[in-house]
Amino acid sequence: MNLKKPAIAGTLESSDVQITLYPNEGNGIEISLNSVVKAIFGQAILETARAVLREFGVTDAYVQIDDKGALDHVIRSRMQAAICRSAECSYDWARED
Amino acid sequence: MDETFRPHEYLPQSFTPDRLLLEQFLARHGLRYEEDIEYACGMTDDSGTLFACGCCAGSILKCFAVDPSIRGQNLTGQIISQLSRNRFAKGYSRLFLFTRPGNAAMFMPSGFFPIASTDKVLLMGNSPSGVARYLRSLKTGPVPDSGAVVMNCNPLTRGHLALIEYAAQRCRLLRLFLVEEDRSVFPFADRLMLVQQGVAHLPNVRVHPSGPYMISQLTFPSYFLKEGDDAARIQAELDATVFAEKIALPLQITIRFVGEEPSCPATRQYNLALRAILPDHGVALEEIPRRCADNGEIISASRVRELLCRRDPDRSLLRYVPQATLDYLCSARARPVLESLRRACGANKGEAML
Amino acid sequence: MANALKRTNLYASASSPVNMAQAVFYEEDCIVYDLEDSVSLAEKDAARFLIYNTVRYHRPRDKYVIIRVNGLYSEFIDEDLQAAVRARPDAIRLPKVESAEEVRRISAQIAAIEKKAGIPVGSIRLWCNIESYLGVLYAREIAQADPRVEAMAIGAEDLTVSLSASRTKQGLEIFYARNAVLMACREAGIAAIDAVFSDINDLEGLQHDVALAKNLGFDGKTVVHPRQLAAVNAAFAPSEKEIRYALRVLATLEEGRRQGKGVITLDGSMLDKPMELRALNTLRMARAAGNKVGGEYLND
Repeated sequence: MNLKKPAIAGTLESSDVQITLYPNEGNGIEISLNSVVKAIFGQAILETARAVLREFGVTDAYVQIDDKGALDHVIRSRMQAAICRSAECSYDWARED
Repeated sequence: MDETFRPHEYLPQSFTPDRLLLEQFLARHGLRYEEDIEYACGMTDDSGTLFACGCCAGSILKCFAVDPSIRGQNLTGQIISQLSRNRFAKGYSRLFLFTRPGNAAMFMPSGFFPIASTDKVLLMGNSPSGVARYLRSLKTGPVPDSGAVVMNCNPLTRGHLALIEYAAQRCRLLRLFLVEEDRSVFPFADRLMLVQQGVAHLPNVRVHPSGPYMISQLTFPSYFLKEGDDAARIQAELDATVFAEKIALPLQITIRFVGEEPSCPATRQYNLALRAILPDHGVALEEIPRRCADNGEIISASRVRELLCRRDPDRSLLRYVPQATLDYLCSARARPVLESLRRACGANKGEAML
Repeated sequence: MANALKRTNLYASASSPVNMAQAVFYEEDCIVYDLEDSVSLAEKDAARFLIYNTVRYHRPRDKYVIIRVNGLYSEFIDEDLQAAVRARPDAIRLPKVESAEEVRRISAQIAAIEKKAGIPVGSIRLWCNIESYLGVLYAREIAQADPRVEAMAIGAEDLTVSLSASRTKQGLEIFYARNAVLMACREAGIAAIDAVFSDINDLEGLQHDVALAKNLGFDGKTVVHPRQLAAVNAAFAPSEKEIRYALRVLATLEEGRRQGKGVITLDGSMLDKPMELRALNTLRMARAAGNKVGGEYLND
């Protein structure tokens, strides 16, 4: 899936995460992480972000993650929303079956 | 759930009570309201009283105020994320804010990163690698001893061309940063097309969109400045610092060219700031005298726009503009631009050639 | 958790992960993740992902989980259902239901998604919000429209607007609606949930309001703020007298059965099946409310 425009999802409230996604044609996946729990959970956050990008088949993206201590399912949700907004597509829920 | 404060959106351009509310709230915190604010987000308690706000116009977030009684609750973060979502929805994704240099820590937890600072003002952006990605987008990497010129070319004149040709002879590679912000009369795409045609005969010139890092006076907010501060000077110093540290240094630009400014005080002051700051960063500044037309008049884009306000373009303009610009001005593509120029006639008088 | 308590229904906005996370730790019986009024138009997409991932992979234990979707005629409803059904909540709460046909249409839509997603068809229940005069007038049909319908809940703010009535704390303006909805629920054998009491700072007013609801026969109440939970839970919890009576009923029944009696009486009245169920329900509610009740009659 191709990202078409910059998109943002999530907030900077505690327990949330703000994902900013930019198209990054030809430059692969680049992630910049800014987290209150970076030392302990940084790796896990990056893995979740990469996993969601893989599920959507996104191969080029610049991802900025501003994390306020979000749980894994919140990070996943925000990534999904950001990707759909950036790619200007709606989600095919049947993929969850 | 137990939170006492709720986000509230304000539309000061279309709803006067919103505007008055923001204006009064900012005034209570010693800040000035700015006329161009398009959207604002506030935090109110159960009774609707405003306790914190942030505003935005274009890609700039500004006019932040938080009541001292409730500081430390991350309300700034909530306000910033609401403003960011609104800006993204409006098509602005590279966001900036200007604040006092001591305030970096207040905005860093909200996903804003310092770009450059003078003793009076700090510029922050919503991406830690925004500059790096901008430089990468230029395709042409660093070239030792290269030169730069920043221009609006609104539209491209023989004056611009003379400056570019002169500068191109003085360095191995000349980068022409064309101001991207579409507040000019002529749209960026049209200005870019004319410049590209105009410099096609100069093999060592690269035309780059300026990106968001050449700060325009038009967007520079002054709400946070103190009484007696000179906004234009502070803006010029910041712009010169950003150029020296973030653009010239990584691209190995060692000389910047500007047109001499005999008439416009704002541009003259801007050139003074460049002269004060660039050499400290190893970048020379060369001011080039303005080219005169065959009638002895100094060529400037503002003179061309003035003439276009009064009459349709014809061959007499060739004294000021190259053939390609005249062809464009006579084309159907330029018609709506000329119409809006005439409507706005007089409003743009102070605008300089840059 | 079909027989679970439904004394309190607490809304948690799906636009706020912190609200959703905190709501789990309060004492509400039912948690209602909201996609409707508390989520701005531009955030519906993000809220859907958040609800789906929360309910599917991070489901709160010991809560009855409900998802409130957007209006039946809104542009969001189809995708809301796609996400909400697949999240596998206990129930989906429909705003502003006004006819049996609407319920059947949504039920069919849910069935199609259940089938596709491999969820037992019919397992996800429906709660119908009654928040307009039409909803009240057609409450009986709505309550019996479909086997999925498990509860009806009154939404007083929208209802009073549709009536051109003024919303008051005393609630006389919704008195008829409360009774009409309650009777429709009793006729259909489903739960009746009372309206929100909006002034979260007026605890005394809330206590009067919830006492009225309980006396009218409601099974629970929707609350908008955790501050209201304790009072509402307590009000719907059985009194000591009710508990004692329930225990006597069950003890008498057990004794009578052991002796092989056909007809069992207590204080001169015959004890029938509904009385037994009511007694069991009283004890279940008492236990859930934190009363120490002997567990011997409760083996669910």
